[in-house]
Amino acid sequence: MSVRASEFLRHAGEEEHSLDDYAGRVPRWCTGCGDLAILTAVQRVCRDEQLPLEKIVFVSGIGCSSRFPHYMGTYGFHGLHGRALPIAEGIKMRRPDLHVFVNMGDGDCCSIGAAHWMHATRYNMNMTVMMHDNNIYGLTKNQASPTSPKGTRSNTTPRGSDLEAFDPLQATLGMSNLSFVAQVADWIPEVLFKVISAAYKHRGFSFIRILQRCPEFQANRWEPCINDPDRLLMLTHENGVQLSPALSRAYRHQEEHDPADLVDARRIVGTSERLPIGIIYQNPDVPCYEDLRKPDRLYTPELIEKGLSEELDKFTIWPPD
Amino acid sequence: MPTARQQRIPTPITKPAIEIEEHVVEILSDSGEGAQKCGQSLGAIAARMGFGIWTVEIIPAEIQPPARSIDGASGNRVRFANRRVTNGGDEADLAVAFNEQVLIGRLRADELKPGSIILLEDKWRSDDDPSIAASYVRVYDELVERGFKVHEIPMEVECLKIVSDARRGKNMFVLGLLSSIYSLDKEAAHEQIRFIFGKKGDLIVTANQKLLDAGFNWAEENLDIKFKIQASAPKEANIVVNGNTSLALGVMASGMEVCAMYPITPATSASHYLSDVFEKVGGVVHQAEDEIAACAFAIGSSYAGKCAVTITSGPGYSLKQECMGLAVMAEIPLVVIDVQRGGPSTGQPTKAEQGDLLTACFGSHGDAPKVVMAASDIEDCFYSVITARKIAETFNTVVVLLSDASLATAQQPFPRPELSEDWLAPPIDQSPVIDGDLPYDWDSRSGQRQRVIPGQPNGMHTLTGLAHDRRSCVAYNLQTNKEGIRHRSLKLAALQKTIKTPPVFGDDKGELLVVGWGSTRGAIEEAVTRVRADGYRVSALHLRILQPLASGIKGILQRFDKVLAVENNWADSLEDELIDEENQRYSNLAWILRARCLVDIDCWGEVGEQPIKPGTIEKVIRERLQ
Amino acid sequence: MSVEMQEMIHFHLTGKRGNSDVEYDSHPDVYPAVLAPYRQLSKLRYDFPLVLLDDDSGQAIIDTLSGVINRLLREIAPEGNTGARLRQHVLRLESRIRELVANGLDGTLFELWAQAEKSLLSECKKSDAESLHNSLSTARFALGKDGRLVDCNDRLPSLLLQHAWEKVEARRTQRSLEQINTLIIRLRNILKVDELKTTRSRTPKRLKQTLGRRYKDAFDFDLMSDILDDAAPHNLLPADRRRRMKSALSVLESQKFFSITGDGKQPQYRFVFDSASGALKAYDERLREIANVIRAIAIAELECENAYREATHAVYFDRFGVQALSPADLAMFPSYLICLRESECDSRDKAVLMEIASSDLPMKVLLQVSDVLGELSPPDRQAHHGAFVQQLASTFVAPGNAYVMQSASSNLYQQKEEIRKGLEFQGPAIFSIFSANDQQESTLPAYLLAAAAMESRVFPAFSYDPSAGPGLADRFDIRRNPEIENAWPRRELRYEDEELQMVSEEHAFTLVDFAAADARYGDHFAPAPRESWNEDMLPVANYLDLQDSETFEKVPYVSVIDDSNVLRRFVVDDNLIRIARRCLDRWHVLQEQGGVNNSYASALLSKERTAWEEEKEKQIQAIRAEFAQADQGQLIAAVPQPLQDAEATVVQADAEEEVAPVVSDDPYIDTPSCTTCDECTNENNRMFAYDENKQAFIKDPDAGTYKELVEAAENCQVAIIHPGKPRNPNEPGLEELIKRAEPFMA
Repeated sequence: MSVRASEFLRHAGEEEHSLDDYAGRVPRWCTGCGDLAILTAVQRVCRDEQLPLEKIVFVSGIGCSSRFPHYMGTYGFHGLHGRALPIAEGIKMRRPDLHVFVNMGDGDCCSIGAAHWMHATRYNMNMTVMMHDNNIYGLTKNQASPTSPKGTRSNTTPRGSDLEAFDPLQATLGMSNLSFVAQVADWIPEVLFKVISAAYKHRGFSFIRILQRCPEFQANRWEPCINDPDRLLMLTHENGVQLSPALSRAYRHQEEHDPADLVDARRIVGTSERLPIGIIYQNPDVPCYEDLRKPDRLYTPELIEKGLSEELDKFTIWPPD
Repeated sequence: MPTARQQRIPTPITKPAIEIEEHVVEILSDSGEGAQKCGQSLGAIAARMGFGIWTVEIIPAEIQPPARSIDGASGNRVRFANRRVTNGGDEADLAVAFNEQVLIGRLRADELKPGSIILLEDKWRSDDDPSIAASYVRVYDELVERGFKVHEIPMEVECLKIVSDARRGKNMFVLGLLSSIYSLDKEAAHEQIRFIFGKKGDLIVTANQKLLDAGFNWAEENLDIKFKIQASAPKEANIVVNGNTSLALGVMASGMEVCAMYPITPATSASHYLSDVFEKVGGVVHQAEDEIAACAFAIGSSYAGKCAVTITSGPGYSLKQECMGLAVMAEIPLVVIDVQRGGPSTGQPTKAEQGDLLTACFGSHGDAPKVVMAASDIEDCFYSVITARKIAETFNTVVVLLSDASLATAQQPFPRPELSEDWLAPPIDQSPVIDGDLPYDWDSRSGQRQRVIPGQPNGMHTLTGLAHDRRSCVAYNLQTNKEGIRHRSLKLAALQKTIKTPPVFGDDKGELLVVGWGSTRGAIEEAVTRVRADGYRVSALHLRILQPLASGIKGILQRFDKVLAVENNWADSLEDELIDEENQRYSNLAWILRARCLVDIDCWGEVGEQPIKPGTIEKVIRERLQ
Repeated sequence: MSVEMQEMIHFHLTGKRGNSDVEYDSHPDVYPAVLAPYRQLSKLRYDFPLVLLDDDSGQAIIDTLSGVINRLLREIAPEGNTGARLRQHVLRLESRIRELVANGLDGTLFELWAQAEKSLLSECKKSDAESLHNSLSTARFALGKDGRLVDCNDRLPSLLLQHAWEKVEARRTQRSLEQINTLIIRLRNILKVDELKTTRSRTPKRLKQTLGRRYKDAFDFDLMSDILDDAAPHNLLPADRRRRMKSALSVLESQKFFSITGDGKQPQYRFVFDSASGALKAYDERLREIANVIRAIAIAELECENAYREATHAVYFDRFGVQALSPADLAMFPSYLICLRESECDSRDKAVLMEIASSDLPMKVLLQVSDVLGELSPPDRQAHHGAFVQQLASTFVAPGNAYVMQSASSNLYQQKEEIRKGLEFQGPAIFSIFSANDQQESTLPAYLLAAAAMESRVFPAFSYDPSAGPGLADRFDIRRNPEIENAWPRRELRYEDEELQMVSEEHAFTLVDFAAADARYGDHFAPAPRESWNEDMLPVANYLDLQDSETFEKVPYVSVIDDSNVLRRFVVDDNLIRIARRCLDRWHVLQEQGGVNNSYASALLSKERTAWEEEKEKQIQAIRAEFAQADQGQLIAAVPQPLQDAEATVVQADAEEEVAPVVSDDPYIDTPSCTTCDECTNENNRMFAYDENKQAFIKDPDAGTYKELVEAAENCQVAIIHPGKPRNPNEPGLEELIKRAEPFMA
């Protein structure tokens, strides 16, 4: 809450942030890498929301996608493989004023950091989480990842991988306290943008699995889907994503899906032979951990000393007077 | 039955109180019978009367070990004296046992002084189960045989006169016995009972006070033992807490707001207490999904301006190594508390050991310089956290604070701290960064740099665990990497310059210098005092800041003919056939001092169950003096 | 006509007792007949005394003693005997408390509970004492919030209103308080951080203070101070910024509107006044101070977010003054409570009140009325004082923007919600409340007198809430009055006649019944001896229904009982009847405002009804006509008509969405589908460029060759580049290129 004067002045005379203000260093991703599309979409969201640069933190793990923060003009934390989420949680815990975004790869999120991912979903702290899923380890030069389809040939699976791919969506829909999960493809910028901005607006842990192209090691992974829109199922809803006329002409397979409907979400993810694209589940009412644990007031040194000496009293043996 | 007993112990008795300087008392029971509460209360009452005290918990590994089992012994060792006490002391002078089995383990560990007094619950003698009755008689006879002064006490019978469930009352009855035996102030005892049971309401309080009186009176009428310790009531306000509570209080007093942890013995009780009260001062305890997450969470919080602490023990500490490396690399302030336990691997979770010093100093891959401190007693636990937080935030570095299982559960009174606002972490800096200022603008002399906190306008940068330059951009060339490593290392040198040479206990030159660190201080200095009393020129040096090491230590070592490191961790013994100067593995501190000071340092280490006894150290010293 | 009757008529018309030989009884103290059952008030369980709850949780502000006890019993008294005894004991206590309060004892619920308990125990038998004590202590244990007990007396209105005002204010200003408190802390923190960057904070002495006693000798603080200077922070706050924050801070710390510390140390403004002009004066004086505080808040908020811009903001804050305050800003501050007694207000005061009622100032006025009839005017038939008092509240409704409530003290608990609304209302609120004072000459106790004033329409209850909606109907509320549909509320009057038969008749309670209890009006009544009773004597209500022409040879009377409980009739003189008429008129007006028997409404209604009936009539005629020459088929065919248009619109919508595919010879890119993959821009960044969304478009088709266009189209992973037709016919290898371009043309 703030008085009209500051409310009005806060905006008066402030120059608008342009897309370039949110851009950091020149991306070192391969030409044609899907991460570039994600970067653009994210920058657009920040620009459209006019977020103050100093109030944004992008946290990432290790991997191609985790270079993301370097390419933003904001604060960034390029940490450890698999540990992006607990670090992001620590940042958000006592700094609700910061807008926290997390970028992870499929190995980062579903493999080495899987436990953190599961619990982060449960904590439901208010942050926007993107898993760049290119089905492969890129930075370490082409090893199969948990989400690589069975039979993927890679340096660690020269004769093709033996296991069925891990399905992050099914996994998320099984996690407790889930409040937002969506799936998008980096090659459909309109939906990518709409979903990321919906995720940003969602108050809670908003998890987006982004199907991402890797021209280097998975050149043909998504080709069929790109060339044949019929392989995708567009989830549309007034509370979800709505397609532009042009897009709804291009993608003929659409389904009206209410993100509030968990049962239907499980059905779609579990049974549909097409890749669902859009917001799969959203529940705005799940409480955020940082709110549940927030201090009851602003603590001053006086208050701390008061609380502490009350504690000391419990253990004090006073001299006889 | 009672009549029979009456005959065994003639009443009434007239008994002069024997003046003593100190005693070690052990109270032993199956877990759940409240021997620990009894021991702690005994300590507190003694403290109220101005005795110096030190209490040690005797903890079984399981939560509910089978009743009447040798390893199931649960209880408390209380040492009190007419002067300040700095450790748990040697063998016990008096033991109270709720059954004969719990005694056996202590006997085997030589924890009881030959000929010491034993108060034994006698209900087993007439137990319905003949095998139990038999075993009782067997042990009883053996004890008497071995010359212990065994007194059989009808604890159960007497308690049942007051409460329906004797299991819940015995401990206070025993407290009564001991109060009489050590001529403790009954008022202080009642006060103490009110203090522990106050929350549960007057009924409980009075019931327990009755039990205490019953025990007291029974002893007065039936026992011919009475001791007295001359002590004057304390002049200043003291607090009586164990090491872990002291750590938790320190966390609050340091102004840290976030503690991220994962349950592990013996560190957890610190977090238990903190979880209960941290919110009173605006803090939060986050129980993370694992040790790694706990450390990462703390790092995130510190990065965002709220310096955080993570509390753990050995195994958890190993898991945090990678995260700590990140904090070192990115120069994020972080306090890691390691309450050491027996290792390696899962080792001995409830037992004391000082085995983590080397991993604390050198752990984590690559060159990861961090500050390492060790608390030397209960009070030190409190103030060390405050200092650790201050160093961490001043030098933007990781500070490891070592405690151990023996401090964790030991109680010792210390002067009630006078809180100061200056101890508290400062508010977050959100002021704009000046144009041209870089996030890693290392000072070429001291390696320090002003960290930038998210929210500061004009300071935007991406922190990274990769080698980076002053702009925090990924470094692709060796030169830049080297620059970073050099400056991070310089910070330790800068801090080192400010550390004073620690004082020598005893003369600053002589025959033998005993060097130690952490919880063994009290035992070492007591042992040294005893030997000095016999005219030996022995001194002790105790280190609290182990990395970086203060200047002037080498000088001290060189002023003694011999230097002996005494530690509660492993050191090869030259007695073993295969061990010689070429392959002997030294105790932790010995490694460090040898490397740092180029002095040929002898070492003695023990990884026993209980904290090292002053007597044991005394023995070692005398051997070395031969 | 009998002599007695004639005499009565004369009295009625003249108001003078003649010197005929008819015997009048002396005029005794009497009681309005219908109120007879309520004589022993404190024996009854009714709304009083009230409990002014000490509850800041923000739920209930007041409760009734009976209410508290009921809830308590529901909670603790189990079914069966034990429960029964408990109930009985507690109820005994309740009535004892009620007696104590009625006897003028002052105190809180807990205090009086203790006293009542004591007196009960003192007088009950030893044998019962223990069980009584037990049940009472159980009950006392379960007793929730304490609060002051107040009976329905002269002090009630001001006590209750002040209590409610405090609670409402506490809640309303809570947020302002927290906001200011938070800003103070944040400002202090910023300044502290800045202070810590100075060399003052790095002196050996200061550094030593940052460590506890066990480490004071572990470090060389001179060296430490020297080392720390190496990397001393230099981004100190600009001097002007520090100055600005300090002055904002001092304004917030020294403001007198809210107690930040809560320890009462800090000087505080008072907001309770006993004179309207006093309150207005204070308000005006403090307005600049308010502007000052708001200005400080605004500056603080901006500074805390590094959002203060000297260049643009300084000018604004230099001019910032009273007129810059928004209603929301003003609503942050406490309202003013003014407690007045109508009897002590002179015409100037009333003028000031009118000024307040017409303003939008946060003024809450209690106007306590202690006499609703007043001395009767001399028989020259001037309007008497009472008439004015009864009108007073309505006059404040006139300006239309003040919250106005009129009620009798007896009814205040029933109207607690209206009171809360009025206090929470943004603008002024005026509460006109009748509560008899001790000097009143009525035979009725204060509570009954107040209740009677309301029953008899002399002082009806109403509230007017400007925030409730645009129409009078939304704003006016008279539902608290009995039988709002009727002229007078009716009560059943039961008594034994000469044959000791129980007789029950309905009896309207009028202004005259109310006046009958008031000794001052004795002259307006003439007791009619029983033997003279006859059918030409009419109860006042019925008499008032008559047309003037019908009143000949009739006299109005009112039924009363005397202290020996005998039912009697008093003939009423015309003067009083006329006053009753005026009262009735006022009631009718109020009814209309409250939406009852609204003349416009009924007029409109009858008009509509006739119109509607005519319309229906026509339709019936029409249908009859149709049937005359139409067969079913046509009738059915007529049905689906409207549906068709509906469909049409749907199609319409589709048509709008349909966009013809662009077929163009010029090259173009489906920009919204661009994934920013850099392929084309790397190919030729003069020909291809990114727009403000970082998505590609063709910047200059002629900045490169057709070959480049085609290759870009081929390399584009999402195939959104359309090369169009070659622009330079002489470009080599065109046929081949055109073939390659084919797939990307549509």
